[in-house]
Amino acid sequence: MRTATLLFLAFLTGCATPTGYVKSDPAWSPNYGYRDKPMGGNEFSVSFTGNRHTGAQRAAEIVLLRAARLTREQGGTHFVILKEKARAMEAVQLTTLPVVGAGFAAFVPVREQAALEPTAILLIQVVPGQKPVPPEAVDAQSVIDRLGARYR
Amino acid sequence: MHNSCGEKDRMWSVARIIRFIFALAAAALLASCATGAAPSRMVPNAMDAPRADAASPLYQRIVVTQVGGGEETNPLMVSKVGNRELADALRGALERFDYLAGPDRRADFALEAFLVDLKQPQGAYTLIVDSHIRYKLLSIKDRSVLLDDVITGSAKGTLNDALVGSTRLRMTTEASIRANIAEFLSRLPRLEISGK
Repeated sequence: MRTATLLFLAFLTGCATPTGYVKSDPAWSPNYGYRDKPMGGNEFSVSFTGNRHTGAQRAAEIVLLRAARLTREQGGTHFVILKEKARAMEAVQLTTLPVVGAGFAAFVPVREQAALEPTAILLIQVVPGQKPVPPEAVDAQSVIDRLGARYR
Repeated sequence: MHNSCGEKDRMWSVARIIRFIFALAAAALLASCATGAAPSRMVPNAMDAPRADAASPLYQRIVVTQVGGGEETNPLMVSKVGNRELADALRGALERFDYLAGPDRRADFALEAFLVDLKQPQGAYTLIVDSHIRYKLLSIKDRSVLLDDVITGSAKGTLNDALVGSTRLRMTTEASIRANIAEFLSRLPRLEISGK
């Protein structure tokens, strides 16, 4: 019974938390977190979608942090933002209620609820370390220093 | 002896029922297997965007040169949009709206498209699929960029569209791409391309 109560509390806590700096997982959480794709050359798309508890500023900061870390992973020091988009997208969530009985546990669908979920997209160009840095380029390390501690 | 036979018969019956249940489950699994989005269903309908004006420099002058960002569909997972399907849908759309350069028309403009993100919710009755595609339209002559933007398309699917979740998701995904391409097409008449 104690385990069931803990599971129930964990479920409730998990739902009310904003999405953090996590990579979206195709199996467990395909829609929330960050994703990036190579676009050819040194260009990459970086996107982030948060749940309904995630603010627009948080989404923008996480996508920026991901872009900075991706730049470092690619051996660059700076990146140029080619395009940026931020929107709150309508989403429908199915609210379920955990039902725990003798020897079984199940989530019963209760109702559907409309919500707004933030999406932030950056198209970036990584500036390779040995190349001259354009004036509009963003210093990846300074972004990591500023936001890295906030979103681990 | 007689009892033993009866027991055997009962066991055979149980085995048959179990086999039947397994066959039914396998059939249900196959029926709900994910299939990729179909290009023809991602082409916007004639009313979704304006056709190209015959006087426009873009009229039958665009060619699709590069498409990326798509994902192949794993039948055990969810329906995705592959690069080839997206490219075919774009060609179909450009052709339907009189933008595609035909074999007898010289192409002056190159279209590059990249599927940046496809948000496909699962586990709900009502699904909203969002697609974000980057479109880049360039002049072939001087590589100048006429349009470079990330366009968002959304579509909502309900139980009225399909009862099976995987079918509903595929249909909603196709509708989302259709809406996205329609939005791209509706921007073309507004482009300033005089002198190109």
